[in-house]
Amino acid sequence: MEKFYLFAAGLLGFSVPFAAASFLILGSVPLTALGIGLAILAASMLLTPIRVVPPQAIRAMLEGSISSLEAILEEFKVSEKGYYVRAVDGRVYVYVPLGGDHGPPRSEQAPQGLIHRDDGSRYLVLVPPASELVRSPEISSMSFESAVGYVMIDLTELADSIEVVTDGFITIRLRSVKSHVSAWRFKQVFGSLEASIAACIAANLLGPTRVVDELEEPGSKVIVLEVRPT
Amino acid sequence: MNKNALFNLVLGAMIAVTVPVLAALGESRLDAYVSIFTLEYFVSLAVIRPRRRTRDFLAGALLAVFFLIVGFRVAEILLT
Repeated sequence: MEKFYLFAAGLLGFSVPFAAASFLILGSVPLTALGIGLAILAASMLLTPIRVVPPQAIRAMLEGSISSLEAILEEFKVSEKGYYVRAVDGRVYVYVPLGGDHGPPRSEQAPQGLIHRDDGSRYLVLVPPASELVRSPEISSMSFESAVGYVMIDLTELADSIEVVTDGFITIRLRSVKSHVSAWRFKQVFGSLEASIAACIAANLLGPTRVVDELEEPGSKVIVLEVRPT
Repeated sequence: MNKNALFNLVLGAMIAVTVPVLAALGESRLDAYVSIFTLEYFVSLAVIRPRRRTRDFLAGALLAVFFLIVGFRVAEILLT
């Protein structure tokens, strides 16, 4: 058991008899209240999750994975916007159209290799940074807005708050964004790291997704996603 | 700072301030203390929005106790 939870359990174990003794033996209301207050605090601590991996580390890992994707994109000289599509294996892939935009692939088969052929169209297939992250059952069972909030705010602390508006397109406003990605081709194809994560979640929960636009505003960032019907 | 840790810190600070302040004001009703603790818990919860490992049973318990206190107060007024 974590030391934090041991401490909380110890505090709870002390506070309950302390409150009872203060009330029954001493007859002191402030001391009884103090005991109750400590019990509330201890219970709150027991309900608090402890992360094994700190958010900064998760963020650094996601940002680090961008370098290799940037190298592949540079090698193929592609800068077309990619489609985030969930394959039958449950993993989200990014299909970058080669030789002009011809929409997302129609088949949901898991791609074999880097180049995927679908109905005469060719795609460069890449695994986005958050592909494995959004596959977790915890995130898969959430609504889109909750999942984006959980990943962006709680898990990676990429932003301080989010606001999601759905009106044909999905518009996400993030406040106080903390990621620092300068990979040009990655941004062209995948969108920024935040947009890539949001698109990954949308592809996993809603259907084939593409990052349509991103707007930088003072203190906030707006991401526009387009979800294609499956 | 991690908002989960911040929540516990703020809650602990609020409880630590509430008890001596109410005691100094001569408050001798235990339900007043518990009501204030409940209020502090929910205000901190709404403002900081910490993550919880499971369902927030503590919030449910505090709310139930709060309703009980209010119920007793209302009954007291109606019956006297």
